[in-house]
Amino acid sequence: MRHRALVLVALAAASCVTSGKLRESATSLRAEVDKAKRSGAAKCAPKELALAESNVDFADAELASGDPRRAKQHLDVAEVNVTKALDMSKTCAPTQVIIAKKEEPKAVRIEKIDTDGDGIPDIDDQCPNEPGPPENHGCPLVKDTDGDGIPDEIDRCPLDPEDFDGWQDEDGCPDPDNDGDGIVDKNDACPNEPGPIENKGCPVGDKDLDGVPDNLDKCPNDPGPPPDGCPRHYSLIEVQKDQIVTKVQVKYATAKYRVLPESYKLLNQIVQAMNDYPKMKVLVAGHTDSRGKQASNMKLSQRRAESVVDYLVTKGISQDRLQAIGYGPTQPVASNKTNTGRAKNRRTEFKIVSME
Amino acid sequence: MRLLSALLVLGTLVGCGPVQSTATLIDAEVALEAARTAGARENAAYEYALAEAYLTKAKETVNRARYESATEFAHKAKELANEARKKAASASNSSGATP
Repeated sequence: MRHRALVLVALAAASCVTSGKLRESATSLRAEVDKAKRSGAAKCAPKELALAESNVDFADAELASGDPRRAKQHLDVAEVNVTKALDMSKTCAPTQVIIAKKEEPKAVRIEKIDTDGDGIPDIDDQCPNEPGPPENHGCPLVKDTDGDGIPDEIDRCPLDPEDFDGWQDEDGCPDPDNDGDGIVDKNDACPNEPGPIENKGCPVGDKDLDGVPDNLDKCPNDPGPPPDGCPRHYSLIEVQKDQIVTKVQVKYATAKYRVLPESYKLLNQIVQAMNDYPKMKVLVAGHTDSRGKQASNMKLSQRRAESVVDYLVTKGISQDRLQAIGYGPTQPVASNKTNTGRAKNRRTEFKIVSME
Repeated sequence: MRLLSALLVLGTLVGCGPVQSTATLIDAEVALEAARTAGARENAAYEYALAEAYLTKAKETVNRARYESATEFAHKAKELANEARKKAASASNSSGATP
């Protein structure tokens, strides 16, 4: 008895579960039926649609009366027919044309900024920070009185147009005599290099580099002081291009730096040469042999060179034209192993630093 | 006497179900025939098919002695048949054809 009761309860529970699922199926199929109706199945598949719709109703009725088996049969019929109805509606139903509502184009508002306030927005203004008229793209008008293309504010000659002859064309000033040699450019064979009119405005060479132009140099191949450019002949020295060669050595007191009077004649000729070449600058270089301590020799050679410079200054040569350097034994010209060699190494040289 | 009256009432109630459903079924069948005559098979195919399905279900339900449901189905079948007939008639009138 108890066993039968349990079986009945189980069957009842199973029936509830089955009915619930069938109701869900019925609801789902009814939605499909509605969809088929919207697809035009009433015209394209009237019988299938009718069978589907009616069988869903019948299934509901059977479920309500407690007969899920029959309800299931109706749902099966409904499912088959609604599927057919939907399929048939695809090819039969009139094409549904959906006319989309035309969207109004969205207006994009762009804020135009005009930093310099010239009425031209920055985006179109080539000079957004400087006011200027539209015809100049928003840039300030440049004043150019002489019309040479160089604005007045940087034109050194705002009233005279630049001649653009390749000579200082950036300053805005015309350059009728580029090289300033007194010969106007149109008559100057060398407008950018100064030269005398005798040479058609072209520079005259100076082969011997003595500072006297060749056209004035009576000895163009031998350096010599102005005015004739011919070398002076000194008995104890010889002026060469890079040094004044002494034929005798400057003599100093032994182990001291004082110049001995017997060397005054030699130094006086140095003074004469420097007067003959007023732009000449000379380096007085003192050298010793290698005997004794190097530090002492360095100091001694320096002081001896300075003594020579001092003498020359006392004779009127400007200090600015003279320089004293003591090299000690570092630049020997002969062997320090012999007396003769050491005598040659003890020397004072006069190197010409420049002639101009 | 009382017992006889009660049995009579009960018998009437039990016997009314089949009578009512049968009458409704007949009405539905007549209506469906009228619709068919009006050309509803062609011009109101959906409504006609529905009516036909409900009538079939009504008959099946009667056979199971579920008269109340059968009556409802038959009634629905009749309504649908009438609707199909009207629609078919309307379609025939608009096309100028005689049923």
